[in-house]
Amino acid sequence: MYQYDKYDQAMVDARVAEFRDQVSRRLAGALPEEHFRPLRLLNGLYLQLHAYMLRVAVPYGTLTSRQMRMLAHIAQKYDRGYGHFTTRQNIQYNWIKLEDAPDILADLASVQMHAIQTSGNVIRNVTADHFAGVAEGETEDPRIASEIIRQWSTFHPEFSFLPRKFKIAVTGCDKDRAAIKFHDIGIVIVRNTKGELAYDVYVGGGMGRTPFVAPLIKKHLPQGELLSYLDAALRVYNRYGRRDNIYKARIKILVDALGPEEYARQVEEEWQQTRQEHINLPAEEEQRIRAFFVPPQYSADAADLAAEIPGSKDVAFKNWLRTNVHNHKVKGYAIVTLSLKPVGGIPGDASTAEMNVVADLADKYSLGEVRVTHEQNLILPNVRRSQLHALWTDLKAAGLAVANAGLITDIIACPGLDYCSLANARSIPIAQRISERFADLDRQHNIGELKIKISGCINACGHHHAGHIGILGVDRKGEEFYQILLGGSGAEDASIGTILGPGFSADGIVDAIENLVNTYVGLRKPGETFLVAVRRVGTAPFKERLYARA
Amino acid sequence: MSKESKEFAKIVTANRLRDGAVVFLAAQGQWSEKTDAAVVAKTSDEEAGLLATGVAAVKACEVVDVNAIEIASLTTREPSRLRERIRQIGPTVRPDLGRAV
Ligand code: SF4
Repeated sequence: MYQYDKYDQAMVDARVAEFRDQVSRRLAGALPEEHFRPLRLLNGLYLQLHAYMLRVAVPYGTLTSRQMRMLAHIAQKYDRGYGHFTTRQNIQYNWIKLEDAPDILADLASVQMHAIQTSGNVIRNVTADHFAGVAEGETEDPRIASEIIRQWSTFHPEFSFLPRKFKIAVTGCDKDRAAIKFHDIGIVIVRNTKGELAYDVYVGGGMGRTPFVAPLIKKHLPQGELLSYLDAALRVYNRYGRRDNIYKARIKILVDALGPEEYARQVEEEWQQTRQEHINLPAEEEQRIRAFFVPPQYSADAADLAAEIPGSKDVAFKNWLRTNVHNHKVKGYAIVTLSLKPVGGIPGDASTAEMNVVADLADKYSLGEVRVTHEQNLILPNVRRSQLHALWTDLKAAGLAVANAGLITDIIACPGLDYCSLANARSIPIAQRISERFADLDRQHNIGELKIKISGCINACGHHHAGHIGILGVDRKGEEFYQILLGGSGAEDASIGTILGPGFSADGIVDAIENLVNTYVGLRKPGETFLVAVRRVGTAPFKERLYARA
Repeated sequence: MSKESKEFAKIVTANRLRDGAVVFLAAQGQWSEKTDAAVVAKTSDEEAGLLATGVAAVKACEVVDVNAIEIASLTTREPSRLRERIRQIGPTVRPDLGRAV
């Protein structure tokens, strides 16, 4: 894992000191709100419905157990005993006092963390495949490129006032767990025709008011030229992005307006310039960063390599193995999803106690490492197969062994109107009620993979466009209503869901979801997942049954 | 919604600067965490007066984000909009963290 050098630490410490001064001047009345607001946002501090909210960056979703303990400490000392893991692999605290914010940032800096790049029209905290470095079949650990991008983009003077926020995600796998094509820039690490490492660069994806699946703009970008190409891609956007209209300011609108070919041509032209500007990382610096991501010492023994996992006669354990345990690139090891979606729970929320348990279990079973997923779960990436049952037993005691990863109750939900000042409707209670309706685990396993994603407004933080079933909360004359979308996917086969028809009231939405699920169960072919079935039959049979009830 | 809600009835709300807590403008320019202490404007002139007090409190660095909101009942001073009701009572999904109104 990357360790700060003295420059990283000095930058973060200086930022804490600067913000401490800004906060004290604000509280003393020397800084008016209109001047202070952009400064606090630069430090991830928002004002939400009930209090200030602090969004802390978890770069590419990787945490050490020590960092996780610090997140727990912050929840306990400065918040109300919990935090919320977001769809951008970050954590948010909901009850922060302005006067405490500098101390929190200082605590974060002591474990090499911060809240920089979690707000504003800048390049935001880079996200990555949460199986980075351990995924089977991975071309390269995407955290190397992510860390390079993090360092390049932090406080980048040219890109600190972009037309709009800018999100970059990286994966090193064919299988996309990072929603690459729904980002401003999505990068896939591949091998070119000569077998060398290269990048496929997708630009102009996004959700929100105008969703787009990003087109491929550059195939096989040579690995050493990442930064000059990104610079060129951002420069074209910075120059022509629509600063006059906030709804048209994201790069997706520019790429769509120009057309992907023309945008690519302009970037290529610009790139001929940026390539000469010594923007690319010197090889020795790349090596320095790369060295932090050398795989740990794995030490699988015969027990880990045994065909059968000890304890797998237990049905509950077996269910958990089926959904929450994934193949690791090293034989004898496994990757484990810790579901933050208990029945009736709040997706992504974790208490202080839970965060501490996860940190302890990471030390005990996972070489001290934890990952945060954009699906609002946590991952232990390095678990020996022979220890899976012991881990599961410990997780069960902590209420973290829910066997629902990828199933209908593994719902993404944004904070919605319960917390968010931009919301039109609540998201969390809908997620809770759906999860209660489908609580029966046998039924969930029988339904199979089904991703429900809920947003409380058109900003789509809950990724509703990319849900197999997406739910969008709207405000209809002061009442919460919910539109349903069908057939979206945030994976490698990315697609945008289609709105089915008139929305449903808060009372009717859970029945509507059950209706869709029953339709699927009735028409599916053997082994056919929900998404595949929707793609085969289209939305018509679902619509017919859904609206026939009325 | 009660009949009262048709009549003009607004209170002024904000977030306290130092901790972000939801507060309501009470008598003598005080800010209270409880709606029942809030002064009710019954005309748009009264609303403007309360908002002016709010703006002064922003200048004095006591609060931020001042707004006048409609209430549905003069007795309970429950806000008409769900958003404001949630600000008043706390997240509906965490009643354990809710505030006594
Ligand atoms: S989607 Fe809307 S309601 Fe949900 S967190 Fe984002 S801005 Fe808030």
